[in-house]
Amino acid sequence: MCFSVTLWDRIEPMFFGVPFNLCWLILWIVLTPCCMWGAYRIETAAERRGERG
Amino acid sequence: MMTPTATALAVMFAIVALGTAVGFLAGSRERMDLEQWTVGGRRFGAALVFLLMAGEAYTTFSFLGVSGWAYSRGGPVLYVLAYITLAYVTSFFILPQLWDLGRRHRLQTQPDFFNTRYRNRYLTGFVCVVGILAFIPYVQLQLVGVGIIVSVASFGHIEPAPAMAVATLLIVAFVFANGVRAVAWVSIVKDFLMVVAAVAIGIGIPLARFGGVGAMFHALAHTHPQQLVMPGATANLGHAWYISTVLLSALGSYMWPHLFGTAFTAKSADTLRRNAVVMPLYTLTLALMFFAGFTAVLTVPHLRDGDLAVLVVARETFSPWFLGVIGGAGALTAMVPAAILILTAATLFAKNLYRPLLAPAMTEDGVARLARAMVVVLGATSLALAIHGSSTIVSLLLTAYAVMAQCFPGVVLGLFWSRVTGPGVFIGIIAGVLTAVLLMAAHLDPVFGLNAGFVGLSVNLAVAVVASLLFPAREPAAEPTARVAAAPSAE
Repeated sequence: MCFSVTLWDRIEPMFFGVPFNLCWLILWIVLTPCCMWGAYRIETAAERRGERG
Repeated sequence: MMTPTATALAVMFAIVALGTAVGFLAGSRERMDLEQWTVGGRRFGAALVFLLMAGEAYTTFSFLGVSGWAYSRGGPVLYVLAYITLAYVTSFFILPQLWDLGRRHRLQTQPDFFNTRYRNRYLTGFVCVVGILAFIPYVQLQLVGVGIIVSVASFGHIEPAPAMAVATLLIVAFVFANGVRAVAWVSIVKDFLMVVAAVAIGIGIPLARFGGVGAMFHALAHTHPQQLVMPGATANLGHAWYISTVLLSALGSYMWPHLFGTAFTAKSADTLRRNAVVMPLYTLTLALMFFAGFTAVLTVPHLRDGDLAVLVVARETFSPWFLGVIGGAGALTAMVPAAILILTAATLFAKNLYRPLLAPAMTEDGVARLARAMVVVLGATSLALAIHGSSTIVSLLLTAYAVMAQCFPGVVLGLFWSRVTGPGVFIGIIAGVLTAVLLMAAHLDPVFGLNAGFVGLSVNLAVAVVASLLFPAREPAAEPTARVAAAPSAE
C-alpha cells in the first residue's frame, strides 16, 4: 500500500482542513483495525476447524 | 500564590511520583523469580499487554521527536504513521507463533529464540551483543528526553542533569523491585496521560493560536506549501526513501528485543492477535503530535533544536499547571521505555551472555540476582552517557534501528521455513549489518533514494536464503515451524 505514495502525497484536496496526504494516512489507521479484525475472524475460524479435524 | 514555575513543577513531580508509586505497588504476591521478573509469569491479559506495548512503543521519540521532525523536516515525518500501523500487522502474524514456541520452551528473551531454533552459540551471542549495544543509545536518548522536558517545563530553573539523575533512580528502583509487572502498571498512568497530552497539544494549540486545526493547515499551505509534502525541508527524503523506510521499520520494529519479549508476557496467543487488531488506533495520538509540530513551524520559527518545538509552543499556550501535566506525561513517556530497555538488557546480559560464556553452572535464581544487579549498573552507565552525551545519539539510534531490523530474516524464516539454517542466518545478518553500517558511516544514507537499513535487509534476506539452500543442515531442522510438535528444549 505504501507504494502508492506518489499518488497521495499532496496537499489538495483538503478534508476538514487537513492536507490530503495526512488524511489518507489517518484514514488507513482507522481502516487497518477493520481489515485486521477480518483477518482475525478468518484465523480463529481456521484454528477452530483445525481443532475439530 | 505559587509562581508559574513552582506550579508546573509541582504538578509534574506529582505525576511522576504517582507513576512510580504504581510501579512499586504492582508486585504480585508471588515470589519474584526470573520468570516473574522478565515475563510476568506469562499471565498478562489483553488490557495489560496493550498498555505495556503502547508503553514501550511510544517513547520520547513519539513525544518530542515526531513533532520535532514535523517542525524541522515536514512531509517525510508521515512515514511514522504508516510504519507503526503496519508494524502491528507484522506482529499479528509473528507474535502468536512466537508465543507458542515461547511457552513450550520457556523462552524469555530474543536470544533464547535464536538459541532454541538454530542451536548456534555464535549466532545467539552475536544477536545478544548487538541487542545490548543497540539499547545503549536508546536508553540514553530517553534520559536526554527527560532532561529536556523537565528543563523546558521548569522555565529553565532545573538543569537537565539532576532531572535525569532523579528519573534514573526511580526507574532503577521500580524495575529492580517488580520487573516487567512494574513497567506494565506504570504504563497505565503513562498511556492515559499521553492521550490527554496529545489531544491538548494537537487540537488545543492550533485552536488557541489559529482558531482550529483546519485554519492552521490553511495558513501553512499558504506560506510553507513545501513543508507539508515530501521531501519537505530535506534534500533527499523523497518517495523512494519513504517506501523503503516504511518497509524496513514495519518489518524490523518487533525485532527490538524488548518488544519481542513482550510477546512472552501474554497469557495466550489469542491475546496477542486481538491486541494487534486494536493497537493501530493508538497511532492516532501521533497524528495529533504532527499537528503540534506543524503549528510550531508558524508560531515559533527558527528554533535551534526542533525537538524543543512542541514544548516551547505548549509553554506559550497553556497555563502553568497544564504545562506540568504535559511535562509529567512527557517524563513518564521517556521513563517507561527506558525501564523496559534496562530490564531487557540486564536479562540479556545475565541469561544469554554471562551464564553461557562464564558460568554455565549458574542457577535460575543466580541469573535473576545478576540481572537485578545489572539493572543498577546499566542505569548508572546510561545516566553517565546521557549527562556527557553528544549530539550524535540520534544518528547512533538510527543506526541501531537499521541494525536491529537485520534479525528479521532469522526470526521469520525460523518460524515459517523449515530449511533455513543457523549458519545461513548468521552470514545473512553479518552481511546485512555490514551493508547498513558501512553505508551509514560513509554518509551514503539514503543510497539512490533508498534507506540504507532497507538495502542491508534485502542483502541479508538474499544471503540467508541462498546460503541455507547451498549448505543444507546435516540433520533435519529441530523446529521446522512453530506449529509442528516441539523438539526437546535446548536448556
